[in-house]
Amino acid sequence: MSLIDELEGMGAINSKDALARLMNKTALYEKVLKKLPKELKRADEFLPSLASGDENKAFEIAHTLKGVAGNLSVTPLYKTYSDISDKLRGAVSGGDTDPEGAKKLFEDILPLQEEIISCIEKNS
Amino acid sequence: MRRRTILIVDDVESNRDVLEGIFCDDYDILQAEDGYEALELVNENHEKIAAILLDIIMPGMDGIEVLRHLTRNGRLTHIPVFIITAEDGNEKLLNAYHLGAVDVIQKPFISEFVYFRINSVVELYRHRNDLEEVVNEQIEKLDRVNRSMVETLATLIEFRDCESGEHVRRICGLTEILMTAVSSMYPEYSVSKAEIDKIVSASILHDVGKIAIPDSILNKPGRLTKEEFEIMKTHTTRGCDILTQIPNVMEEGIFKYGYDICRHHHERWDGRGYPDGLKGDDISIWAQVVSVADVYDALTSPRVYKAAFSVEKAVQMINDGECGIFNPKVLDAFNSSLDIIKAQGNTEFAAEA
Repeated sequence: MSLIDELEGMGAINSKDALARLMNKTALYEKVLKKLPKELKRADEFLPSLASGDENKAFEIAHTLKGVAGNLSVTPLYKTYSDISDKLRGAVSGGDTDPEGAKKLFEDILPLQEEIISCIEKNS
Repeated sequence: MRRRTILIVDDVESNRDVLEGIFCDDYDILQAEDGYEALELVNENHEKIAAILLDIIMPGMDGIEVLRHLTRNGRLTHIPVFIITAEDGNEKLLNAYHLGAVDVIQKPFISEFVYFRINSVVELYRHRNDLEEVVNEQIEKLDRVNRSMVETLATLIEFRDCESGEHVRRICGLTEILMTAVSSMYPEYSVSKAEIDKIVSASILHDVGKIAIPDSILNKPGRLTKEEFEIMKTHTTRGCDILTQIPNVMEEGIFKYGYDICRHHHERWDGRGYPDGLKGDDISIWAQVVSVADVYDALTSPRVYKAAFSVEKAVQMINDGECGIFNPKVLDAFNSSLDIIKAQGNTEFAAEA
């Protein structure tokens, strides 16, 4: 089973959507998916940033991962990081933030994120 | 040079890879991880870059700051910048437009749309850049035509008046030296380098009115009678008449200076010159400068009615007011520039010999 099929099977990606957006370049899609674990490393800093009150940095991490996940149609991650971004946007735009809510969303998605990472690493 | 390179600026490698994947078949790709690297690459490759795809949120220098730099150094005129971002806060995106981004593309994007949107803008810019090149070539051509027209007019006088040929060319050199000196020594007479260039070109025209003076007077070996001198004096106003016939083909600045210099290069500081009897600084500084240049060159050149005076004698005659009274500040500039003037005279002499 290919990496794309496997990720599809665990509900991590919407490959039809992704390939349509990537001009059906399957090789490009696989190549970029394989870099996902490296990009997701950024998430390691998320909770420590929140804990130390650096909501600005936490927002930047969530925002970056939202872009990465969105590009590759890693839909559950995209949705979560979008929501987290919304909860923390106040840190950069000067409005209210919801760090507790953001933390909860992050902790909920973490198991799936770990699963995605190990699946990709196994296939690399 | 054909612009065939797309610069992708994003701190996230997989984002850069996706964009590279979209464009790598049609373009050369440059990648930058942050704002500093991006600006460096733009400076090195600005003639090759067809478009910049720029992320907003990056560590170090962010995309907005990059845009600011590119606006300031004028690169945005020739290179379209697209903001590619997952940001959906309207304020930031609007700010990007205000700073000169041509478009904002939101992530997640559909590659084909990005491909067509960016390609069509690149085409548009290419067309515009090409047009600009054509226009610049035309302007250069026009400048050349302008210069050659001014020179043609001067050559015409050269054929009529055996004395004026080299004289006209030397006047240009003297005018440049004196204008530069007086402009730097006296702030009230300060004139930019670009304007001095125009004044120098215009000085060629100072005697163009001599075309209208009969041979019998223009080339008379002896002293002119009072009546003949009156006719001779009209070369100033006749010069203006000639220039007014051709204003449209001449660059506006050169025409303006040429007209003034033709008319007023025989005025004197004390009001005893002609044709208008202007006094002091009612005479433009460029006409005053050409007056001194004209007198100096006439004195140091042989004429049908006289031998050439030595440089020293000519300088003394000008300072003593034997050829009319000049502005002391212009004389000051003249006296301070004598070394350069003499050096130029020697080169001219060597060239003629």
